[in-house]
Amino acid sequence: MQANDSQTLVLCALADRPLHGYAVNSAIEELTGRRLGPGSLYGALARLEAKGLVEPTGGDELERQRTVRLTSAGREVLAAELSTMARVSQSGLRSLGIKPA
Amino acid sequence: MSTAARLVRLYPAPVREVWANELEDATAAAGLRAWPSIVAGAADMWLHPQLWPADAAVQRRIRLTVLVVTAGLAGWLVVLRLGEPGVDVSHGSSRLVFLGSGLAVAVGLVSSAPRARLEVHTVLGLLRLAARRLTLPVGLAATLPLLARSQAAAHPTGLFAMVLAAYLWTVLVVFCLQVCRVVAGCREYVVTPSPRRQAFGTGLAALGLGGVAFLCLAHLASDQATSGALVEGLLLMALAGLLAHLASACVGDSAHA
Repeated sequence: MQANDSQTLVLCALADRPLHGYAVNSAIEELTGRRLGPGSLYGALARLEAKGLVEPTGGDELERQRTVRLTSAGREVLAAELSTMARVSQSGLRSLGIKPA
Repeated sequence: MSTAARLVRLYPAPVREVWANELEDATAAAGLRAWPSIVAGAADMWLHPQLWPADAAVQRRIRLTVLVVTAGLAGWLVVLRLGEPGVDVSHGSSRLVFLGSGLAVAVGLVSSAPRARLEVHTVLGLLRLAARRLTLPVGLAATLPLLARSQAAAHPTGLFAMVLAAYLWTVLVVFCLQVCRVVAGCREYVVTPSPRRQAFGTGLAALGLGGVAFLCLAHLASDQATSGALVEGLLLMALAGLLAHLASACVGDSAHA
């Protein structure tokens, strides 16, 4: 799985509600059938946080897990990515003669 | 300490401060098959210091600069050894390439370096920081002329020659490490360059190291080819590649600045 896919999957997992890393990976497993390796998952989280697309919710300093959420910029980026992917997927399916859902 | 905890210690300290618990738990839960991912993830973080958790964007940029300076100084140390595998850069086109490459590295590193804020207290603070960090290597370097004048150093042989060479290289390595520590600690005294200027400077330095690497590898085609030239050429290529990667990381930063 390429780096950008990992980041998109993490953004998708966080679209619904704030989650900590383990829960993000569980959500990704529900979506794709596979979990990300810990290096890939936390590398994606570090990149998304550096880009300002996710942020910690705070208040869980005593917990072992750190909960993060999408920022408004993260929501916009995710919406744009998913719209592009939807257009590409509809075009591809049409070309294959399969009616998009 | 568990294996998971040991593997997580491969990560840089700022990353461990934020993610260590989760990384350990995820690694322990996934078992042996997670080890390659953790090791690759740690290497990825060391190659991307601008991604480490930070208080501010300037801290990320300073970390990137530290890695650029480290790679540049490592390249300088490799080039200092250049004469020993017999790579001749004293005349002809080799000399031109060598000098041009050296200029590119120097101009590149200076372009990508942060600038001191032009206020009295920040300049003094920066000088104090430099004095603290560089006193040791400068002090060690000051003993070199004394050693050079000694009778034993006039015609060094055997063990003494090895000790002298080791001492010289220790002074150089300590100097380079302390320069990197000055850059790492100068955040409050400097203004970081724009991402584009940093990308340009880093890319230029990459080009310079690549030029010297080319000289080393071209030397392999000569009658005096040695394995030393091959090793140094490959090291310089790796450092040039690292700087080129960091230059592209600077450009990536500019999209999020």
